[in-house]
Amino acid sequence: MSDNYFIDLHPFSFSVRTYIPQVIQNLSTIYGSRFKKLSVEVADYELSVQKSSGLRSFIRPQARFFCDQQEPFKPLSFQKAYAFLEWGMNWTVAGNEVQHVIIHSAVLAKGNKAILFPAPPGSGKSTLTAYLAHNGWRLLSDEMALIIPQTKTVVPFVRPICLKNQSIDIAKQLFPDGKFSDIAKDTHKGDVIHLSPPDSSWENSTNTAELVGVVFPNYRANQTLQIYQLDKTQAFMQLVENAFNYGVLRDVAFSTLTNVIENVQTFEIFHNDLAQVAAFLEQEIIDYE
Amino acid sequence: MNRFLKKGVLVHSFSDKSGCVFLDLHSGETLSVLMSKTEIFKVLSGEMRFDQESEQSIAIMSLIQKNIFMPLENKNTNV
Repeated sequence: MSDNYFIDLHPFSFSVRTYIPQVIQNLSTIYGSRFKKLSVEVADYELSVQKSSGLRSFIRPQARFFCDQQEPFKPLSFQKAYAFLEWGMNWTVAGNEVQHVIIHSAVLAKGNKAILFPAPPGSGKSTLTAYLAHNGWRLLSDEMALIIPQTKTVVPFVRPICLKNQSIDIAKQLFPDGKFSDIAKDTHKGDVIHLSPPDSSWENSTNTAELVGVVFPNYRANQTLQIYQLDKTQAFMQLVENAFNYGVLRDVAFSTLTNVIENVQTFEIFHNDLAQVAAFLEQEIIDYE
Repeated sequence: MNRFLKKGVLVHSFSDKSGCVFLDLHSGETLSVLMSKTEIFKVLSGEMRFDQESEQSIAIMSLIQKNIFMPLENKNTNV
């Protein structure tokens, strides 16, 4: 029998219907007191993760994800149920939210100054995010930047950091006290784990920040820090490629992103040392003004 | 100038003079050209010329092919 739970996040809340113990346990580990049994709350999005029924549930059990009673994805193996829910939450917001311009990007801030880190999978974005979030920076999001239209203000959407493959061992060494989910093995992204952000990020999860930089990170095992200043046209086009709802918002997204690019510094970096990157970001972007 | 910017196209010329971006509100397509808006209009008016094989000429041709700039005879002057 499924129970209804509530995840109270800013600026969106979710109800989650599930009876899968692995999902419930991981949600509790990652979201702490923000995860509770649903009572009278009304959620922005109604989600559900269920075990597949019938003969298959005995032979090769699968997890099914539902958003507002629609099933947008094919089932995944049961062991990936929690990761499936996290990805489903991302998909739900990216596909439905139109009050903000949404960029596929990590966002971290020092004080009120925020930097966007848009990057494709495999670029080391989430490892960098985890490092910064545990070294004096505030995580606003690992996955999607919510920009208020016609401003350079970013609204936090604090969620766990999704780490993959080799990054999992690195993160467990770097943050031995971190709150990790179970590992979802052999997903389309490889092995995946979720890491809860530090308390300081959760505590500031309603505080917006102003963008001062856009940095496209690239991890290269054999490359010391290389920094390239991007011209504004290049940076804009790369940002558009990473915008989830650009096609829907069109003129609003266009004017918002041109305004952002006009008012921030833009870089592409190649690195193999997280501490060097952190020093560069602080000295050249955060402390620049 | 024998061409005009199609209605429903937004243009932004970046302050670092790296280029211009165009959004066609009808198709949703965004294009970039590594020339300033002034340079583009000068080329379209014949005031500035580039080799036909140059990146600049190719970029402007692509704007024309995408109907960002339309032939002047297509302009409805009665509206």
